[in-house]
Amino acid sequence: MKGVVFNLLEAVVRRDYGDDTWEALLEAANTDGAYSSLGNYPDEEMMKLVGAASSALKMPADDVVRWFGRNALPLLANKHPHFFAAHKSTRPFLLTLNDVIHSEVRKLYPGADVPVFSYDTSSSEVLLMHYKSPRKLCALAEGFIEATAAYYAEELSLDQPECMNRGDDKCVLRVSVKKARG
Amino acid sequence: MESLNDADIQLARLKKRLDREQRARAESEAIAEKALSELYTKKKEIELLQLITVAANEASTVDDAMRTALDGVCAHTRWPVGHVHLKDSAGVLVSTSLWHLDNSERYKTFRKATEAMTFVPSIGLPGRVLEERKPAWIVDVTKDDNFPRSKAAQDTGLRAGFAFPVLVGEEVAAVMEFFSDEPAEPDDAVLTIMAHVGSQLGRVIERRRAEDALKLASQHKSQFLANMSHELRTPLNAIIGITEMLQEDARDSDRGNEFEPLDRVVRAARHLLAVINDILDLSKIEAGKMDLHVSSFEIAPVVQDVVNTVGTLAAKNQNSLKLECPPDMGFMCADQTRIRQALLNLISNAAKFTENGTVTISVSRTIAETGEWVVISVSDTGIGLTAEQKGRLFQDFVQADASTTRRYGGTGLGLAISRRFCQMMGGDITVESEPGRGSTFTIRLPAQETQSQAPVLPKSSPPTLRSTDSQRAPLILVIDDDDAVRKVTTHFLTREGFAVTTASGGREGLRLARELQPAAITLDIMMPDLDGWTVLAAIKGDPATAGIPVVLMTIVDEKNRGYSLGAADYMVKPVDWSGLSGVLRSICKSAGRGVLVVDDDDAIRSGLRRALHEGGWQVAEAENGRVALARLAEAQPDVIVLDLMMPEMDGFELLDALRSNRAWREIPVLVLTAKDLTDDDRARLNGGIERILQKRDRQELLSEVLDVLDRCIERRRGESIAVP
Repeated sequence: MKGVVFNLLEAVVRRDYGDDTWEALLEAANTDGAYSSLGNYPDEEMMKLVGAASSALKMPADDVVRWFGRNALPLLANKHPHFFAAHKSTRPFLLTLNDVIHSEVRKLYPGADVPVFSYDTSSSEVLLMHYKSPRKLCALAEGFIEATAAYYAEELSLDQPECMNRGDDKCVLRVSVKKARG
Repeated sequence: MESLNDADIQLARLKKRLDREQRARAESEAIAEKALSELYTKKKEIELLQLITVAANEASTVDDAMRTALDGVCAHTRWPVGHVHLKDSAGVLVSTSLWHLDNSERYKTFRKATEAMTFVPSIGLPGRVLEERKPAWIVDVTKDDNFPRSKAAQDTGLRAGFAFPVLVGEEVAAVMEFFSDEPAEPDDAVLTIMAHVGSQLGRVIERRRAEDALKLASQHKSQFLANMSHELRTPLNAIIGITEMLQEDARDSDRGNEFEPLDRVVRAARHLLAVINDILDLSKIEAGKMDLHVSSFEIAPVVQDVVNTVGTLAAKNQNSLKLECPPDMGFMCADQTRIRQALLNLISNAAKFTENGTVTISVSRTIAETGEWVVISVSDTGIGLTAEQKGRLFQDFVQADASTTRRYGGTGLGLAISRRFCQMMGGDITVESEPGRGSTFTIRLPAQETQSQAPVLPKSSPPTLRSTDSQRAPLILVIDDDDAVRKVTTHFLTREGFAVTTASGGREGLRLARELQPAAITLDIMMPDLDGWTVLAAIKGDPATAGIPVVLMTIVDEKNRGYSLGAADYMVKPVDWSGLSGVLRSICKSAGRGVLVVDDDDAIRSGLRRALHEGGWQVAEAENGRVALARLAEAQPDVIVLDLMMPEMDGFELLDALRSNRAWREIPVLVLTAKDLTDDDRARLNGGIERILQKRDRQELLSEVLDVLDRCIERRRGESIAVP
C-alpha cells in the first residue's frame, strides 16, 4: 500500500484524536511509522493500525475504515480540487474514478495498486459500483462516497447488496443521491 | 517534577517523531533518485531507438543502417566491441566487415578470429541467437562452453557478450553481437531494447529486399519490352522490305493488279509498326528513358511541312486545312521531331474526327512571366467532346470512347504520348471542346528550352572515306543477324549503286571489315554473338578498321550512345532506304560509281552529267567512240551510256571494240538513241547491251537512264560479289 494512504491516516488521527493517539496506535501496531508518500508498505501494517484504532476507539474495524475514508476525502479534495470542480454531482464524479482519478494516482505514485470499479449505469437513478479486491476495503470506498456526496451537498443513499466480507465474490455498492433540500 | 517528567516524555515523543520524519524523507529521496535514474535510462533507450529508427528510415543502404546501430548500441551500453553477422543463402552466419571497435589495434586478434569463422545454428553466441531467434547473454565468454572464440576473447580482454537477431518476419536475417571488457550480469532492459533495435533493422532489410525485387521486376520488364520490340519489329521490317521488293517487281513486269494488294500489306504492316512504336514510346517515357534532342529551329517551315504531310488525309474527309502562321514566327529551341510528332497527331486527329469542315492551325508567340511561349493550336469543326470524354482524353490507352477505336482506328496512345513529350519540354497540351461544335487542342511550349534534359552529344562528323578501289562501286559491309534484313538491305543498296557484302554476326563482320576494308559498314545492334555496341567499339578500337564509317541500323533508339562510340550515323529500323543511301552516298561520295557517257550532243551530255552526279555517279564524258576508248584506257567505268549515231567512230564501232577487249567485254552498255532501229541494227547490237532507250522527253529519259543504270549495277554486283 502506498505511503500516501498512511500519511492520510496519520493526518486525520492527529487532527481528530491528537498526536498522542497516533503515537499510541504506532506502538500498539508495532510499526516503524516512517512513511514516505512515494514508498510502498505492506498492507498488513495498515490492517494492524486499523485494528489498533478499533481497540483504542472501541469501534468495529469497518467503521474505523469508513470514518477514515470520510475524513480523508476532504483532504484529497483540498489538495486536488480540479478533479472535483469538474463535476457538479456525485454520480458523474464516481464515474471518472477508473479513467481519470486512478489513472492520475498511478502517474503520481508509480506502482499504486488502486482498484478498478465496474459500473452498472442501466438505471439513471441508481448507480451500481462493483468492487473486487483482496484488500476487501469496501468500507473505505463507502467512506469516500459518503464524503463525496457531502462535498456536492447531496443526500446519499448507499448500501451493499453484495459484500466480500459477507462471503460474496465481490462487493456491490448501490449509490443513489438527490440534491439536499434548501 | 511531574510536569518536568511530562515534558521529558513530550520531548522524547517529538524526537521519535522527528527521527521518523527524517527516515521518511531519506526514503522519499531514495525513491526520487531511483525514479530519476530510471527516467534517465529510459530517455537513453528512447534516444537509441530514435537513432535506430531514423537510420532505418533514412540510411541509403542496409550497411549504413547497421553501422549506425553498431555505434549507437556501443554508445548506449558503453561496450567497446560490436559486430554484424549476415546469414547467407545456405543459412549460415557469415562475418561481415561491419564492426564497432573502440580500439581497432587492441581487438585486432578477436576481429581476425571472428572473420575467419562462420556460425551454424546453435554454435557460439551468434549461432545460439540464430537457432533461438531471440537475444542471448553471456556473463563471461572466456568461461562459456559454447564460445569458440574464447581464446581470442581472452587474449584481447573481452568478457561479457550479448547478441540479438535482426528479424525479417520470423526469419533471422542477421545477428548483431557486442562485447564488454568486464564480466556483466544479464540486463533485461538492454535485451528488451535490443529486441526493438533488431526488429527495426529487420524492417530495413525487408524494405531493401522489396526494393530489389521491384527493381529486378522493372529490369525484367524493360528487357522484355526491348526483346519484344526486337521480336516484333524484325519480322515486320522483313514484311515491309520484301513486300516493297515485290511491289517493284510487279510494277516493272506490268503486273499492276498485284500492286494494290501488296500496297495494302505494306500499309497494314506500317500501321502495325506505328502502333508498336507508340507503345514502346510510352513505355520508354514511363521508364524515364526517352531522350529529347533539343536544337534551335525555325518554327514556320516545320509547321508548314507537317500541314503539307497531313493534306491528303484532310482532303479525304472533305476538310479544308487553314494555316495561320506569320512567316516571321522566328526560332524556338526544342526537340523538333517530337513537336512534329505531336502536331501531326493533333492535326490528323482533327482531320479524322471532322467531315466537311475546317481544321485551323494557328501559331503565335506569347510573353508570360515565365518567359516566352510558342502556342500552336489546332481547331476543328468536328464532332467535339463531352466533358467526360475530355477528362479521359489524355489517359494512356484511352480514346474518347471505346467505339472510337473501331470507328476511327488508332491506338489511343498518340495524344497521351504527344502530351508527355510537351511536358518533357516544359510545356503541355490542353483541350477545349463542345460536343457537336468542334475541339481546339493547344500545344504550349517554352520558346527556349527550360528544363535541362539529357545532354545531346554533338554528332561527330562522318570520318572521311578510306581509299578504296575507285574503279568499283563503294563496298558496303552489312552486318545483321537477320537474314531478311540482309537480303532487303542488299537489294536496296545494290540498286542504289553500292557493292554489298554481308555478315550474319559480329565476329564475322569484324573479320570481313578487316579483310575487305569496305567503304562503310551498316551495323545492327541486337545480335546474338557479339552485340553491335561491342562490334562498334572493336571496329573503332582497331587501327586497321577505325577509319571505316559505321552507320548503326537498329531498332534500339540510343543515338547518343551510338555517336559517342564513334558511329557516323544512326538509323532506326525500319530503315528509310533513300535516307540510308543518301547517308552512305555522302559517306562514299569521293568514290562514286563510274559512268562513261558517250554522245556527240552537248546538251544530252550535260543533262546526263547533272542527273548522274545527283545520283552519286562519277561521270566521264566522250563526244565520240574514239575519245571514249581513250577514257576507257584511263579509267574503267562501271557502266557506259552510249549514243549510236556519232561522227568519227559511232556507237556500233565502239561496241565492237569493247567486245574484242577482254577487260571491257563485261561492262554493261546502255544504248541511248534517237534512231529508229532497223532489224539489222538490232542484229549488230546483238544482246550485248543493257537496254535501248529512245531519246524522247528529256526528263523521262534521264530518270529512265538512272533507273536502268542502277539496275545493271545491281545485277553486276550480284554476280561479282558473293553474298554470304
